[in-house]
Amino acid sequence: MSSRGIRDRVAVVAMGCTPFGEHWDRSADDLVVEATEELYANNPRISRDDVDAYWLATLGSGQSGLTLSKPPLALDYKPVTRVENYCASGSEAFRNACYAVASGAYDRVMAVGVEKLKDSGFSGLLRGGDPPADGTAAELSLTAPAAFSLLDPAYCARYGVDPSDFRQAMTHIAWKNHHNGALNSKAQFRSEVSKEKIESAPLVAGRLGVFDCSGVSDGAACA
Amino acid sequence: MAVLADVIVGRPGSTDESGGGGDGAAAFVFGPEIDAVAKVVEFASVTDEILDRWRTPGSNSGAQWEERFGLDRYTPLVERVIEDVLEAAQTSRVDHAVLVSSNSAVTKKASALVRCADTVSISPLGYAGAASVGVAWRMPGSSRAGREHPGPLGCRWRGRNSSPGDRPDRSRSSTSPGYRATRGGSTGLLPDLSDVEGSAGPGAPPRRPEPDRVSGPAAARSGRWKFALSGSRCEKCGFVHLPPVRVCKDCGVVDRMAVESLAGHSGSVATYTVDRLAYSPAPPVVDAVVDFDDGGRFTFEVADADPSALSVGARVETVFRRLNTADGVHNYFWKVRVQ
Repeated sequence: MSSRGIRDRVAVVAMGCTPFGEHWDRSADDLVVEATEELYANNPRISRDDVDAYWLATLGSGQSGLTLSKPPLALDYKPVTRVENYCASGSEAFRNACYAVASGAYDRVMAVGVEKLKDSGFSGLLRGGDPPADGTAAELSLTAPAAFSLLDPAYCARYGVDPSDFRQAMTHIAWKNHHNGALNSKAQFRSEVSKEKIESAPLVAGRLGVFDCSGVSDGAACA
Repeated sequence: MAVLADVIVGRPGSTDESGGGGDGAAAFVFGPEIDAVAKVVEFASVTDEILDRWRTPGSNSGAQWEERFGLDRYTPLVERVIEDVLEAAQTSRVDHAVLVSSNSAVTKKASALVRCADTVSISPLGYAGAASVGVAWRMPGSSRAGREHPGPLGCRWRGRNSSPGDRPDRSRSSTSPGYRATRGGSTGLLPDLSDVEGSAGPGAPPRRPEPDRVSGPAAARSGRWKFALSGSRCEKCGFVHLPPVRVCKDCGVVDRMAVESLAGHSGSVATYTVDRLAYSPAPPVVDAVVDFDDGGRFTFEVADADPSALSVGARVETVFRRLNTADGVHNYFWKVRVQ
């Protein structure tokens, strides 16, 4: 077994990204166009014709490469590979785009991620399209926040951490994340939140409150 | 005379049921100005077409899209209609404004949305459908909701502060056959949802899709697992797999497994959670990761759950229950119960 890195063989030469938020007025297609147009606007020396192939990441906002090639970007004769890997889908498209350049197969490729979660009307993340099954998989009936919240009692019990100390650490993380978000013009939540507000927020799952769980959002990014 | 009347029935735990909705009626008599208690100075209207509220004739209750979407669409309408009516009346301020909406996110922001008025009031009994605007209408100065509207406008309503005899029989609507079919829960008892811990805000059940229907072929293939809780014990290293697998997770050996049922066995809780977001006929979902005494780990829903009785190390036993029903198909499987 061997694994060889691709260090120094690929460079990111341009990026684009939409703001994240509840974009009731914009479709997934709009978000894709907005992100890629920002990329071209900020990098006038790069044109659409320079991009040889695309990797597209989406969990539930489209199917197949058509999500990119058919209406939004009107791509002809450019291969689009759609990847899906839960919350790591965007990283997965990025990683595979890097390998495409590193292998020498292409000179220039684009990774695009898009998600339009707010159109469903449901709370939280929907996987959508679960394969037909025997109805016994507990992991699939739990929501993502609940699955992560299982770590809290187990960690405290295993390492002898006082639950209130653990809660304080989680509060600090949420507080820090909102502090950083306030500095980011494209973040969904752009205000600082006090630790008292974080700790008294309604619970979502286990001891995770609304500030401990990521917001459901619409957005797109490309590189 | 114009009569406005409506009855709003919400699903158990919904905003409509728990205070956001009300039943009411109001009547207005139109006549010569000399007898009038009020006179229409100007009016304006703006419309839009969105899916915010819907209810099919004959259904027990209405449904609503995520409220923030409606708020986003109603806000510019409110702003525009205020602008239009003020312009028509050639004024920039009013003493009092009444704002009614089927969307509680809109009424929550009433004061912020109607900045041209010194005071703003909303329907005293929540959204009351067609009757909302009638019951919300108050004479200037009577900004507090009374038990019964004094009503120079001929408006009468009975709200949540009515005496018990006047109270609409909500328990009847929430135990009608339509609800019983979906709310059975694991015990067959109707849970009292009025004090469900931690639902997302008072009276707002999570908006989550219902589970998928069980697949007949998949359930048939896994019959011993699904109905007898049979896992597989590796004959080489002894590791117990739940559900059964062919490749040992521990030692990697292939197809050397013995079937072993854990039905009726006991175990200890490795960790647990209360999932306030997940769909369940008996919310909230309480789940526990269980380590069986003779090996094997699985994540079960906890039956008859009292979250405060759970802790890491708590002793549990398996029980056969109905997890949910989708498309008329009952999904039976195992849960655990605290011993």
